[in-house]
Parts: sequence; C-alpha cells; structure tokens
Amino acid sequence: MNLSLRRVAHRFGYQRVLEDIDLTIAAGEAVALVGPSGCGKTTLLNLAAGLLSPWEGCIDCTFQRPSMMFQQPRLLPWKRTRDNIALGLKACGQTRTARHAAAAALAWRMGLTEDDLDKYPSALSGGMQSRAALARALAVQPDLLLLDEAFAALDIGLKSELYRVLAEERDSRHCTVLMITHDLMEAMRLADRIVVMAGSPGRIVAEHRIDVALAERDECWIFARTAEFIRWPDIRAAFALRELP
Amino acid sequence: MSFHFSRIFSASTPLWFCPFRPFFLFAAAQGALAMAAWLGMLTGLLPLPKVAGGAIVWHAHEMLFGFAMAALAGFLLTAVPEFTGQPPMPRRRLQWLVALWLAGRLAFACAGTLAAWLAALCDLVLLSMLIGSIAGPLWRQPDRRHIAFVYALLALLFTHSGFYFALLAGDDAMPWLRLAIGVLMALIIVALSRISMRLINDILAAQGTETAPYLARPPRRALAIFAIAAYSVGEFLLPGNAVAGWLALAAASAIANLLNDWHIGRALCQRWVLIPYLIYVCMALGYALIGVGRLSGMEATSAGEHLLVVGALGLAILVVMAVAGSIHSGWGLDHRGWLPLAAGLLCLATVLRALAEWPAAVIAENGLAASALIWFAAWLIYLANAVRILAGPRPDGKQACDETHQGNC
Amino acid sequence: MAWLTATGRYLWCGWGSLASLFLFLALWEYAAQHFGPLILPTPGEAFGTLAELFSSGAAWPEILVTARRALLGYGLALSLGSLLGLLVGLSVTASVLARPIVTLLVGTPPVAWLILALLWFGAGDGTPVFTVFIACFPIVFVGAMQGTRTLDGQLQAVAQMFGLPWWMKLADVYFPHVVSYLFPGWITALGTAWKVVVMAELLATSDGVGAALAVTRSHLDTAASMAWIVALVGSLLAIEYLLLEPIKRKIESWRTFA
Repeated sequence: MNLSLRRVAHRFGYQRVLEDIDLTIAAGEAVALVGPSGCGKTTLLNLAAGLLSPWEGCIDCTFQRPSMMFQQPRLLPWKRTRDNIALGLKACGQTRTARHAAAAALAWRMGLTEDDLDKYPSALSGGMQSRAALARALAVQPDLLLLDEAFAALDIGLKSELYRVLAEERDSRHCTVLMITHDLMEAMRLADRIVVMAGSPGRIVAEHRIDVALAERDECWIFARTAEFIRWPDIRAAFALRELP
Repeated sequence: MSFHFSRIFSASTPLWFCPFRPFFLFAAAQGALAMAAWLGMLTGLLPLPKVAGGAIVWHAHEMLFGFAMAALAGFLLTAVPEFTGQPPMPRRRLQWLVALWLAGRLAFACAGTLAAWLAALCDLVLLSMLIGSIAGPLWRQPDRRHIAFVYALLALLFTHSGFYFALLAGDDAMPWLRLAIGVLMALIIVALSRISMRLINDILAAQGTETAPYLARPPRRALAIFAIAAYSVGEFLLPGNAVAGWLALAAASAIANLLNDWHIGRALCQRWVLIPYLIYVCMALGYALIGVGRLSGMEATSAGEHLLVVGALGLAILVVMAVAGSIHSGWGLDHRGWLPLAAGLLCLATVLRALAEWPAAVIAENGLAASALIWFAAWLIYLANAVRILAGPRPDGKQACDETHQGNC
Repeated sequence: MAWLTATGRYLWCGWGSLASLFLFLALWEYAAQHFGPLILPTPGEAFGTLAELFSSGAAWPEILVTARRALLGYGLALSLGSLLGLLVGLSVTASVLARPIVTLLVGTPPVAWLILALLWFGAGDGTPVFTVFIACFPIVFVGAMQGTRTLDGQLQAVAQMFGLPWWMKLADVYFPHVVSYLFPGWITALGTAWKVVVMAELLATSDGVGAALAVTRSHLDTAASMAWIVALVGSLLAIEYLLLEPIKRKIESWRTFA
C-alpha cells in the first residue's frame, strides 16, 4: 500500500497553486509537510484525500481507509460530540451501542469527559473541538491519517498528550500519517520525513529524513535538531528568512 | 439590681457583640407578643387598644414596622458590613438604635395623639439612622452591587412617613401600610437573592452533586420587583379597581417566573432550599389570590395580603434569622429539627389565615384565632432555640460577627 | 424523562410572558375605563362576550370555516414554497433569477392580491384561500431557497471524507441545516396566514371570523369585535408558543442550549 503523486499540478481558476509535485508515501511512514502560509499545503492534502481531482498528473492511493482531520474542526453543529466522533463508524454501519462505546473510549484518551460528550459542539471550547475532530478521524481506525494543523489550537500539555495518542496509534496499527504543521519542532518530533514546500505556485523544495527512532527523540534532541534545521539555506529560502552571515 | 442593669448595657455583654443579636431577639419577641395581644383582642380577653387609626392599624403597623423592621435592621446592619468589608457599627450606636426601636413600640402601643408624634419620631429616626449607616458603604462599593437595599429602604422611609402623616391628620392610614407590604416583598426578593445564591451553592458544592448551579438571574428579579411595584402603586392610586387586579396577576406571574431559577432538581427537597422556595410560592399565591378575587368580584384582598405577610414575610424573616443568626454567632448552620417545624407552623398559620376569609369555610369563625395561635407558637419555638445563640457567648470565645466555615453542611 | 423536564421548564418560562401580558391587560383596563365601553370594552367584558360566543355555540362554526381556509392556503404555500425553494436554491442561476420575483411578491400588499382574487374567484372560498397562499408563498420560498443556497461545502467535504452513504448525508448533514432555515419561514407564514384570512373574509365572504367581525362592526358592538380579536390573537399565540416553538426547540436544541 502506498500513496504516490506523480507530476501533479493544480489550479484554482487561472491561478496555479501547485506545480510539479512528486511525492510517494510508503505504508507506516510519517511525513510532515512544512512551508510558508499559502504555499498550497492544504490543497495538496485535499488532493491526497481525493476531495479534489488534480489538474494535471496522477494520484495513486491504495490505502483502504483514509481519514482526515481538517484545519477547522468542522463538527456537525446539530450532533452531540458523541455522535460527531462516531460519525465515520455510523457510515461503516456499526451499531449504535458499539460506535458510542468506541467514541467514549477514544474521547477518554483525548481527555474529553462524559459530560463533554453530551454537549453540542457550540458548547465546547476551541481546544475541545479540535480534540473531538481528531477523535473522529481516529475512530475509523484509518490506515492513512491526514492531519491539517491538528495540534495548532492546543496548549503544550494537551499537545504532548495527543502526541502520545498518535504515537500509540502508529505503534499498534502501523498507521501512515501525512501531516501539515507550522511547528517545526512538532515535525521534528513526529515525522520520519520532513518535506519542505515553497510558494506560488507550490513546489517541493527540500526533503529531510530523520532516522532516529521516535522513542529516542527527547526534548534536548528535538531542540538541537530544530535549531540546526532552521539554519539550512534551502529552509531559510523557503520561508524567506534573512540569509545567515 | 443596678448591677444587673448595668451588666445588660455593658458593651461586653454577648448581646451587643453584633447588631443582629438584639434586633433578632426583639423581632421574635415582638412577633410573638404583638400577636398574643392581637389574639387577646380578637377573643375579647383584652380591650381594644386606644390608638390612633384603630385596632387593625395597630396590628398591621406593629407587624410590619415593629416585627419586620427589627428583623430587617438586624439583617442589614450585619450583612452590609460583611458585603463591604467594613467593621460592624459601634456598640453604643447599636444600643441607641435598639432603644429607639423599643421606644417606638411603647409609644405606638399607647398612641393617643401625643404619643403618636413620639412614635413617629422614634420610628422615622430609627429608619433614617439605619439608612445613614448602610447607604455610605454600599454607595462607595465599586459597582454598587447592593445599592438596591438603599433604594428599598428609602421607599420604606417614604411609606412610613406617609403612614404617620395620614395617621396624625386623621386620614385612613391603611393604604400606606399596603404600600409598605409591596416594599417589603421587593426587599425579600432583593435580600433572598443575595443570601440564597451563596447558601444554596455552598450546600450543592458540599454535597458534591453535579447539578446546574443555582443562579439568581437579575432580569427576572427586576421584572418581579417591577410588577410588585406596579401593583402596589396601582392599588394605592386606584384602590379596589380592576386595573390593580390585573397588576396583581402580573406580579404573581413574575414571581412564579422567578421560580425558574430554583428548579434545580432533587436538591430542592431540603430545608435551606425548600423554605426560600416556599416564600416565593406564598408570595405568588398571595398576589394571584388578590388578582383573581378582584377580577372575579369575590374580593379576597385581605386573604391574599395575609399570604404575603404571614407566609412570605414570616417565612423570610424566620429563615434569614435562623441562617444569619447562627452563622454570624459562630455556631454554623443549625441543622436541628425546630426550623422545619417552625416553618411548617408558619405555613399552616398562612393557610388557616387565608381560609378564614372564605365565607363558606367551617373554620371561618375560629380560623383567625387558630392562625394567630400557631404563629405565636412558631415564634416561641424560634425564641426557645435562638436565645442561647443570640444572647450567649460564641463557642469560639471571640467577640465579633465573624462567620464560621463549617464544612459539615 | 429528560424531554419531560425540558418541556416543563419551557412551560414554566411562560410565566414571564404571562406577566408582561397581564401588565398589558392592566393598561387595556385602564384605557377602557378612561374611554368608556363604546370606544373600548374592558378585558373582562371582552372575555365575557367571548365566553358567551363559545357557550352559545355561535363561535365554533365560524372558527372552523376560517381555520379551513387558512390551513388550505397555508398548506399549499408550505408544500409548493418549500419544494420550489429547495430546488431553486440548488442552482445559482435560478436563485439569481428568482430573487427579484420574490421581492416583488413580498412587496405587493395582501390587499392588492385580495382585489385581484375577488375579480378572479368572486365571493367564496377561493378568494381567501388564494390570498393566504400568495401572501405565505414568498416567505416559505425564500427560507427554503436560503436553506439549500447556504449548504456548507466544508461539511460536505467531511461527509465525503468519511464516506457517508446518501441517506446519512440527507439525514445528518443536509436536513438539519435546511430545516433551520425552513422552520422560521413556516412560523412567520402561519402568522401571516391567520391575519390575512380574516382580512380576506372581512371583505369577501359572508361566513367565517372575518365576516363575523364585519357584522359586529356594523352593529357597533365593540365588545363582540374585541372578543373576536381576542380569539384570533389568542389562538395564534397558542399555536405559536404551545405547538411550533416546542417543536422548533426540539429540532434546534443544538442552537440554543449548551
């Protein structure tokens, strides 16, 4: 199983958004997409999810159960949190009791209480909404998980909690992850490979492989590697940072 | 003899530790004694008092401006310093206030024309001093959150002055007393919202029940107070008119609307929540009875008014004195059985008093007397249980108004 | 059980509205006493006359006739307006095309329609039914059109991503959204129907509440006129607060309650 994009280009109207994208993601791999805002990362993710069809090139996805967490939580406002998390399971035809049990178990791991599950999304805080959205994405036990800035709205305590959930998920089911993030440390912490994009139209300008095992990446290592990472000329160019002396 | 006398007035006697102590004691005594006297007059055992305005004016005035005023003074002089974080008033000044109150009662009891002047002087000076001592601190509070008390007291001063003017001029003084009932009902709503918000949430928190917290919502309160004021003014300006009947129904509905705040589930079924709830129930029923009676042509204003004063006012004074009295004397909330008993008796007295107006009811003849007797018993029960708390030393040996924070609610 | 508590709570909230209604009645009473019974009867007189109308059996047939006409017109407007509105909302072109026409329909006063209807249908059931229909239709239509017009693309992407089958898309994504636009329109239209039918009857028919009002006016019987008006307004309030509002709360509990 893999996901491969070959010579993909995309346009919105007359504007070229992506050009000449070649990317292959193997099963079990975790890839982080970083790049300046507006360089087409989200479009690339939507193409990978099959929500958009490419203008040119071809996308080949052999994963069985892709799942996505969007940039905004996008919960259904008229469904209680419990039913929102269980949405994908309902679509798979699971019984009500089974899918509610699964939703409750997952919500508990995300730090949502039984009380929160009975609320409507409008009554949840922003951080709770994104946790519910992540739970919804994980509930279907995806083999490909697409994350669009999943952890951006969370405080550092919750983030590290959810990093742990994600790591467990990958350990137990070898789930493949393609994630967009603005947080280079997050990319350094979670990914096997960091793909750097640059803007207008979006292209892949650099790739960076991380060979250290997830368990061995402690805080010091992450700080040091991130600091080193930002010093690279192609990274600085992609983010339009001043050149180092 | 003179030794005992000087001991009572010595500022270090526990009775003067805190303003509520003498005032609550005298309020309960007045509640019992004035009703006993009224009972005597009703049954013909005692001669009718030779007061200006007649016996009914005496009865109504002594219950409203004797009994209720003492309880009100005790409550405000204790609660306002607590709200504003100021020290309680000096004990000498407190003794002056209590003396004024007592003098007012004595003067009114033998109120020929001369003594009526004296009673007016005592009562109005007392009320003015009361306003004087709470208005400043409440006004200076940052958001003037409790300023409603000052407005209510000013309204009370206005009605009380009007009452004495009418009395001394030889006019009918009852309309002014009716107006005063309205002011007191508004005061109950203002005061209860402060007390119960804290009390009930403390209890809910102590029980660890995860219900929606109790919130007294200001718009509902404002609507209820507005409707009560509208009825009171309407009845004052157009006595006996159907307009006031509709306004009474509006007041009843607005008070029932207030009960929305109180529907907090099972927690309602315990005394600290149920008694305040019953206060509002009595109040709503009282205004409803007045309104329905007026509009249907079967006048029931007196029955309705007694639901307001015996039921709502009586229960409110009982629960406020029980809570504030035992908390601020260092004993913590009193969980003994006398309070539900006294509250139950007050409810019974209310029902009997209202039924006594019913022309066809069997109890009509003895209803008044029975109701008065039960009321008397309720306040005796209060006195029997509260004398030690009000006049005795604090369990912690302090000499202040401090609260106790006992976690065993 | 939870539903029962919620309903009880809702009904109890009615005390607040009742309080303001009673204040209004007090004003009415005062005005009536001031102006005298020929200008304005007191609420007591109006309610008394109304009770008489009901107990003598004179009121029911008129009310039934009026209700039949109003509901017929309203039902037509509801079904046609909702259906057409939903369909038109699916297409941008159709929406753009429909908007000026709807504005035209909304802007035309019901009296103008009534005159036309009198010319077309004469005195009879047709006139009030048509007037009600044409007065309610644009209200329902606009609501329905907005409903499909504003369907959320983001939520559709969610539905697609999680592979929702068509029936789930309909029930869980489209329907709740559309209903939240349809329902307010339905409620407004019901009020309109009730008002317009009486106006139409007043001018066009010899039976129904409107005709009864016309008779009381010609007899200078203010108390009976007021009684009919009270019956009209009262029934409208009852339908709105006892039937429609609870349904609305049930369907849209996600909007109001935390």
